[in-house]
Amino acid sequence: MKIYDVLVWMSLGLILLLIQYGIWWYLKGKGKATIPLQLCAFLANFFLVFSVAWGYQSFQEHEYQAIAMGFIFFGGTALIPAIITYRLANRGAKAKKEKADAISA
Amino acid sequence: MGNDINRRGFIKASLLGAAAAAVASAAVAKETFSPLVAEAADVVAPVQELSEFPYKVTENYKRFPADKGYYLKAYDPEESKKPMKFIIDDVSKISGKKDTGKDLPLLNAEKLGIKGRPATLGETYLKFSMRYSGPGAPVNNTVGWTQLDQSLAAGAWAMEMEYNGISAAGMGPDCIIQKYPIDPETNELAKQPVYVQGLFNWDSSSGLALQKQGKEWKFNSKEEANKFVKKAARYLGADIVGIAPYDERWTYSRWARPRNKAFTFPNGKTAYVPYNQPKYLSGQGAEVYGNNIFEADFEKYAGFKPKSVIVFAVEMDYESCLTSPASVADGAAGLGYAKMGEVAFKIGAFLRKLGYGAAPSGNDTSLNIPIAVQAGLGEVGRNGLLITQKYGPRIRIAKVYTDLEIAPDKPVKFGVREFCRLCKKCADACPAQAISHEKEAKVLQPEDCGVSNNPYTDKWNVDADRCNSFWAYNCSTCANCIAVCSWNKLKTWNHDVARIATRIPVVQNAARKFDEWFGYGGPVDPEERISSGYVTNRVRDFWNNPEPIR
Repeated sequence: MKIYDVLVWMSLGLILLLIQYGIWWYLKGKGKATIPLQLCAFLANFFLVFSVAWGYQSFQEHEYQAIAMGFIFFGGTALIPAIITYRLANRGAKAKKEKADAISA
Repeated sequence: MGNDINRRGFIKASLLGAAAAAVASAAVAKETFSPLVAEAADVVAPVQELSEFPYKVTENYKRFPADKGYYLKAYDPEESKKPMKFIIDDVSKISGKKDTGKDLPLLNAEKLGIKGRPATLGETYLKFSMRYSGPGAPVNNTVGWTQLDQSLAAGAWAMEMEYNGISAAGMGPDCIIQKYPIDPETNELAKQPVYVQGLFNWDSSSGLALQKQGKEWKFNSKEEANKFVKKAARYLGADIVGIAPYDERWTYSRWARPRNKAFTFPNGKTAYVPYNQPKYLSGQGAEVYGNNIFEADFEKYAGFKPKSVIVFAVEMDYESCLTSPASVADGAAGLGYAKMGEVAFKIGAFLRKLGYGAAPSGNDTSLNIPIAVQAGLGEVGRNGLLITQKYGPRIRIAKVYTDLEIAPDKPVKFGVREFCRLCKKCADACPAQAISHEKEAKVLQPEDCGVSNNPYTDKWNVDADRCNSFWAYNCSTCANCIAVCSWNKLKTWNHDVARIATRIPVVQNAARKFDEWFGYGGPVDPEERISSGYVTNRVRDFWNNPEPIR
């Protein structure tokens, strides 16, 4: 294993952890840091980092089409849990705001 | 988290944890993650051991005669009297796609300057055989077929041609070579060559002498012999190795080697050549001299009766295979043959030193694939090649017969046949349309296949005449069926993930599509491989990439 290989894998581990920390921070801010939502967000995080790892491995194999397809396929998959997490994290606040608007009217 | 100190502490701890995890992930990523994924793949997609030979061989089955194999058949003068005719004239009726191979005999004749008739088998074979220097050789500026590319391929083949004894063509027993003796006093080379044994030589006299004196190494058990011999074979250069029991069904019914005649060339040297080279080079057709036939008798030629066969596979280079059908891919085959000879020679020497007989063999002596299946090296694919789990079809097989009793390995199954039923990538990628498009493999009848294919066994047909007609036209071998094969992958974690995914039934059906979408092996359509620039890019990538892709 070459040094840049070590650095890339190290970065991937770091990115995975930092994003998960960011997710926790974001959900905490919304008051929704529940385990199901964090797991859902972790899935999105995992697929995102997986697509980067796939891209890196494919780059080493000189399979350039596989890099692009990896981002579309696995990155696309990451969007699904990401959107679900985002919607669920924001649903309560939105509903509360709408309710408050209705009372004031 | 109600106060700043706690939060800060948490952030610090998180960052430390992140750094520790990242460092740990880096250190273990390749060493732990890859084997873990591989293990998971083995659990989800297990390799099953079988107790019997997995393919049906009917009662009508007869041992295959070596001289009917494509390359030796080409030296039969009778075959040079009639134009080539394929078993299936027009494959488009079966495949529903354009038959890109049906006109190859006419195209080859045209390239040789013959008008009004298709090329004969002899003409076709010689055109391929003299691919780097004969008439119609495309030494031009097309990337992949330039003098640079062809010289590389010629270099890769040099050891097989000049030291192995061209086992690729199935010549045996004892693949022989011709060398010019050197006078040790004057250092002058003789003008007349002499025949000597190549690397696949069968001289076991040293081992058998030890045995006669009772000085052979005795293993504690057949199982121990299996373990130690396989370890030795791996150490000596084999990439995959297995042990098969000696099964006479796979030994050729007779062995053969082309007859040669002496020709003196302008440099004053004489060489023994199996065809009239000056006549062929002057465009007067293919004159061949037939084959010498030998009784298939191990005791007569090797001095012992084999009990076990050590079968091994050597990996072919990945990145050059992907350049197929360019000449660079021809080099991958040549290098494979070179390594076959080298490793078989070393295993032979090891066994003889232990006090046993050893008869190393490449494509000569017997059919390699059924023996490799018996030894558990892999399964047979649609393309007629052995598909191994580690390298797919990207391997070459050789074996060493021995009188040492070794516990045999078992045949294996890991879903190749089921996968090949659906995939058909190789059949679509074959420029000669030589690979069957039929969904199911079947017990071939003589009318289903040419004489170079052994009937009464359960498999997909591969037409050797069509395949080699393209080689002649291409002035290079072709490895499209290896390059595009879904099993032809590097043994890396991402492909193990894909292997896990293919166990999901829906994904399995779509596996070929995924393979194409991700671009593995390049375009399947043989014309698109060239016209899209894929081959050109791969060849450029090959020459400009100093490190081999592994």
